[in-house]
Amino acid sequence: MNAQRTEPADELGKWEVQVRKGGLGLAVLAILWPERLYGLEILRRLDSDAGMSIPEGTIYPLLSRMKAEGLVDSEWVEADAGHPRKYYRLTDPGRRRVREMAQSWRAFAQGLERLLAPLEGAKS
Amino acid sequence: MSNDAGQAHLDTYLAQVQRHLGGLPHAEARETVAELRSHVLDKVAGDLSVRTVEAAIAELGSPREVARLNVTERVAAELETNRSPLRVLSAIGRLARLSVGGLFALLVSFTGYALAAGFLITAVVKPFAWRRAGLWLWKGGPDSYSWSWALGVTDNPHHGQELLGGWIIPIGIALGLLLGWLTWRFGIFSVRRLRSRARPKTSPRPAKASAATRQAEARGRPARASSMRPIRAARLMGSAAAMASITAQNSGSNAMEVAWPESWTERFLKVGMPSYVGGFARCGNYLPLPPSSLRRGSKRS
Repeated sequence: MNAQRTEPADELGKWEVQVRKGGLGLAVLAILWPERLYGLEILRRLDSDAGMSIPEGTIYPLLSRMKAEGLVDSEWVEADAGHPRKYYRLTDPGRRRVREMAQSWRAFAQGLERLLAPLEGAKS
Repeated sequence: MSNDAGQAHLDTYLAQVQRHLGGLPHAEARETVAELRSHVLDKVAGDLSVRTVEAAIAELGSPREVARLNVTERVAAELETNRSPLRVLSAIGRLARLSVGGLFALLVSFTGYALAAGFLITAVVKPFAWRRAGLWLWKGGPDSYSWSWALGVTDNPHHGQELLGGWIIPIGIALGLLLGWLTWRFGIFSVRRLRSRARPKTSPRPAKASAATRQAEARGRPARASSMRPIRAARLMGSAAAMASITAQNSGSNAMEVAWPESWTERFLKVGMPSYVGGFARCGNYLPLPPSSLRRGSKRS
């Protein structure tokens, strides 16, 4: 029986998903930095601002976990749309965490950038 | 009328989600359902027709998937703060309601803890009931090849052969602790595994072109067409068929199980998604696609 070979493009896609998955928590916390938002707004901002389109059902368990960890807080607000919305905002520990995560991310990205510098202008 | 049908469809979906959320505390399950309702109402933006509701809930996933994701994430988050054996066993018990993997993990954990407790109790009781406590081997008869084992305290010690004697004390304590530790580690591993399996494989995907498409574009070649289309409930049947089915399914009680398009079609179509779908709905009962279309759909270009 022949083992099924994975195409390089598929491997690249998987790697890309893993990278984005790693940054998802930081992205959600960063989106909540300036203002409180509700779930669908967070999804839309992730898509438009960060190019991260995640399955819609996954955002609420993630926010619920962040709330359990004390990183975000939530409140139900009666909206103009005619139904209540659950808004999320960063707590003080959440703000501290997102700062630390951002520092760590920048250091990682800068290190990687240095490694990738020789690739600039190189033909594949 | 259309709004009522859409509202009924949403209520049925949320009732099913809530039923599968048994692993969460009641208040938390209610809040999760309320948030999902708010999400769908925001998505449809006032147009509460069956078609828009169907499209919005297809994006969320089937009731079982949504519930499984919520419960596993919650259980895993709780285990990050408290990993006592009792808490791990309780977590697996909550996940056992949601999947076969969870049920298997519960059976293994229960067996592991029972064996560990058996060895420890036997080792502790042995000094006080020297002749009656131990590990016993029972033979069916003089000419029989059937054997059975017994661990613990027996009233008929003469019918069997005790294997370890006094060694059951150190061996029982060591084996009991080792089995208990292994079962505990297995429980933690199982919860993590079940959580990763509950998450959608495509999360989070790039918003625009896929890596394969971009690579093809960079080489100046047209991107290869997908051989399999993503599963979306809204695409799997004609809207007329879907509306007919919803009306039929909701005509009794909204607590009844709705033949959710995704759950029906996933079972039959996971091997290959044909491009042609429709015309197989009859009074709310969806028939699987004919074998010819399955074969055609599973061909790779």
